[in-house]
Amino acid sequence: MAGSHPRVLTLSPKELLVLELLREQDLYGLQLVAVSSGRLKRGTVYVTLGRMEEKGYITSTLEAAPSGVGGLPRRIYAATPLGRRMFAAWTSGAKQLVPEVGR
Amino acid sequence: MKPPGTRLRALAARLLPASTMDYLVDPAIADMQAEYEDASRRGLTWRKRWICIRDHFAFFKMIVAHGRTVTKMNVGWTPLRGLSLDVRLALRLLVKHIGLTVVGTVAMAFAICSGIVAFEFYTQFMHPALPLDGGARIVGIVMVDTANHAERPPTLHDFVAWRDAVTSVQDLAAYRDRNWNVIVGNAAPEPVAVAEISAATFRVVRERPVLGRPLVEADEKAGAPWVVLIGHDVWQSRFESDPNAIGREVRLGNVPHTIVGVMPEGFRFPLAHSFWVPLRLDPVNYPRQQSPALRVFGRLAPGATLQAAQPELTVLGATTAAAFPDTHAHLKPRVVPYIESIFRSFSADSATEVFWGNLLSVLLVFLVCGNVALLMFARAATRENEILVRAALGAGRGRIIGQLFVEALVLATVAALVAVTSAQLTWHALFAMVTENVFGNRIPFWLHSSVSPGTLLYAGFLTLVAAAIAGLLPGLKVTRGLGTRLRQSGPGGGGLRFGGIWTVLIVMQVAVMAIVPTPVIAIYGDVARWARAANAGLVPEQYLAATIAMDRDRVPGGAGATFQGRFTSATQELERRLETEPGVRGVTIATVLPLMDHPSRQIEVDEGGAALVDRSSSHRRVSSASIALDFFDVLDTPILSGRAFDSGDLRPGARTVIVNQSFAQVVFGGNNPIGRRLRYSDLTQQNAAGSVNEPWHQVVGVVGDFGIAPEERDSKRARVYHPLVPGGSYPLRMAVHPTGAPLLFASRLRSSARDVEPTLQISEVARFDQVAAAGARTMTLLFWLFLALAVVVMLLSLTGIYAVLSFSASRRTREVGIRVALGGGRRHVIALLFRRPLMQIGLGILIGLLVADRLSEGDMVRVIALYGCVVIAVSLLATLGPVRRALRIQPLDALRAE
Repeated sequence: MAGSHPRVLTLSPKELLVLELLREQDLYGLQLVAVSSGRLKRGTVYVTLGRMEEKGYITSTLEAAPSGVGGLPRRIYAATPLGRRMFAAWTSGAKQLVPEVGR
Repeated sequence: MKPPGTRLRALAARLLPASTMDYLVDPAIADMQAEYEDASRRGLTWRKRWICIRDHFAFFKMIVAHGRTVTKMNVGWTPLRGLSLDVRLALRLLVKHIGLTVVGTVAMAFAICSGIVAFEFYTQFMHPALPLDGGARIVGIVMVDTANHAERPPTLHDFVAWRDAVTSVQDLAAYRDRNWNVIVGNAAPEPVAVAEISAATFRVVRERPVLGRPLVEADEKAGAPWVVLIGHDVWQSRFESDPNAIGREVRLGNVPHTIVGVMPEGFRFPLAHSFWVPLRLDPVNYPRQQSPALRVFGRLAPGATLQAAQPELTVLGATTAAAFPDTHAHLKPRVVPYIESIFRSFSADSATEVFWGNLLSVLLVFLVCGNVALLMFARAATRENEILVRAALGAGRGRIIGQLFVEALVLATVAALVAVTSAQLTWHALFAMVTENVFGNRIPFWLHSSVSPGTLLYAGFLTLVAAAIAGLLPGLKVTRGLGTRLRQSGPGGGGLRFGGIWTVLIVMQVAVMAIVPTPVIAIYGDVARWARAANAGLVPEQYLAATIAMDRDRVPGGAGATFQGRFTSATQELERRLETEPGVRGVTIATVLPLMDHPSRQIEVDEGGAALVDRSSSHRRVSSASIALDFFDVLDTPILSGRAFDSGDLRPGARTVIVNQSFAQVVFGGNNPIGRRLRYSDLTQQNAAGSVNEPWHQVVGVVGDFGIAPEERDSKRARVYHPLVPGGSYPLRMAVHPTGAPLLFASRLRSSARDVEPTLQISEVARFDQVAAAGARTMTLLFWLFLALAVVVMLLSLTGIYAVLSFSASRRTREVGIRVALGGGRRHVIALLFRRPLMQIGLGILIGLLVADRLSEGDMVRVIALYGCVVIAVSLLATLGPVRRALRIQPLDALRAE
């Protein structure tokens, strides 16, 4: 997915939120929606996750398909080292600029 | 079953690039499925449904949003992008021209709603389908009497003969209706319809009980235990959905039955039944002439058709006719679809009427949408410059027409949403009215009061038709000669003109506006008359009416004198007990109660022994009733002259009658009828010589007119009352006058009846005014329908007038400016602009009022004249806006157009 040219790494508020939620544990898309207290929506979370995966902030793995019911395998998301570094860099920068962020 | 989201995934696979599925769609659907499975494991049905609805909606939005992004990136399909722009423009116009939106929506909604209701009526009543597995192959066999071209049900002997011989119809079964009291435990008895039915029925309908077993052939054998199969509704209401209901006992009439099965929810075969007992009739017990009538049905054998089955039945019919000419000489069996074997009345003539009703509703769509097209055209005319600019920028005629069509489609869609909602309500009310009048409280199981999906598709078709008329007509008109107008046009004077068709339309519209209220006023008058009649000489809200019948013994020949004697003594005992109850002012019995439909017969009067010269004047039809001695006392109706009935009138040969005032007026010309004699002279009872054998009855009293429906003819208002001889009539109607609310007394009436005789059936328990209300409700519904039509027509007419005048004013701005600059006065300007439209309005009103006058009956002239003034005033009101705008035109502004 990544292109051959170096890119400017950007981080939207939603992406920041996803990284914050994935710091502690790996989560499914709908689990992210559930723990975000309404800040992430069911209809948009997968678009955000897809974009973040493309940027290399998160990675995902497919679980085994549920047996017997014919359903699809679930995809679980985890923050990559790059994603963790982005989150740390943003929060430390933000703490310096806006002290209230650190409290 | 496929897991949830499968269809959504298929949709996404069509709309989105394959690469998107992996990271966007599949994770979303997998999460939804996991959540759904979790709710399933925990048995949360409502949560499962909610998850399904919510996630489908959210993910659908996601797919569409993502699909649009992809389309934008790939430039997309140009016409689709143009369509999206047109829809947005149309939505903006809806808001901007709110007046047109409201009027157009109301009018189109009314037309589409009429179409939906007519179509639903047509499909449900004319082309009903049996909601059973392979219902189209279930057929009935009827007997056609070739002597009088009537149909009659086959008999037990016919059924047995066919069952053994017919091969093209499998599992031939039969049933007959019984009306018995059902008693469960200590509950009050209630009369119910029970189907005595063949065990083969359950193979024909291919339905299995949800509990227990169906009826089987062994149940039909003489001496087998009495068993019953109950409906799901009965199982829920009377047995509280007890899973151990099988084996419990139910009394049907005077016979205890053991429950052997519970049928699934909604199963009401053969008509509207919830109790099924085995048909245990042996032809050996019945002479062929007294063979019981049955309904016979079965399922067409594989590969057989109705046409193929008929010859087999014809041969069997001919054989039976040859063997039994006394009973079957004129009878021919006929195979017909099942529903047709039950209801023949809804075919032929009725089908034609419903077809015309449907056609009228489609015509209404055309008429109404033609009017909306007029408004759309007037609006398009005000946007002529915009259209010309679009044309100048390269938009073709098709593109502009397409835009106007989309505008109309958006308006029609809004109208369709309103129409579907209101059609649900209207159909519900109409269904209740029709089924009450036609089927009483037994609605056939294949009819339903909700609008079917097929009709909703038809509504979609009507919406497209409406949009096509309201959008394409103005589109074609407004884009005609676009190139020429592009070269010639200037502000205030385009090339658009109203043509002759629009002029005729406006005149017709105004005429219809003047005509439509006539039936509204007439129906309102009828409703008021109903109310007055219900209150004339009677306070119907104070009385409780009930029908009294009794279970007949289930043995051949059991309906003889013994039954009538038991019925009479039980009725008298019930009356005696009720009269002694506290809170009861009176109880009386009759063959028919006030406000009900009375039977009518032809009578002749004894004119002092002189020979009857003019038979036509002396023979009249009058209505009659047999009443208990205390009938007039209980109903608080005084005897105006003569005397009331007494016990002497019950003696054999007494033959006395009491007549009402209308009778005295119509039959005796207002002379005193006391002492005069009358007798029935129905032609069917005359002997060959033409003389009449009916005995004479002497008039002993006169009462006032009361409880007579207003639509009845004068002759039928004349009523004769006979004393009710005990044991002479069956069934009977009881009137109770309690001190409190009558309906609260209903349960006491039922429990008293159970105490007197468990097989006594109390049905049709209602207040007097409710008994008579069915006709009034029909009138009220018609009144509201016509009122809605009147409002829609008036709205359309007024906006039509407004549109025409506005159009005239805007088309001639420059001319008005020049005339004002040259010294033209206000009056001159108004006359110049509006002479023609006002003449059209005047002509329309004149035509309308003349037609209304011809259509109306009685003293409607003043009402019509008054309404004419209102129409003129309202029409003038619609001209105010355009007149003001025309008078405000300044010469400089107008001439600046040069």
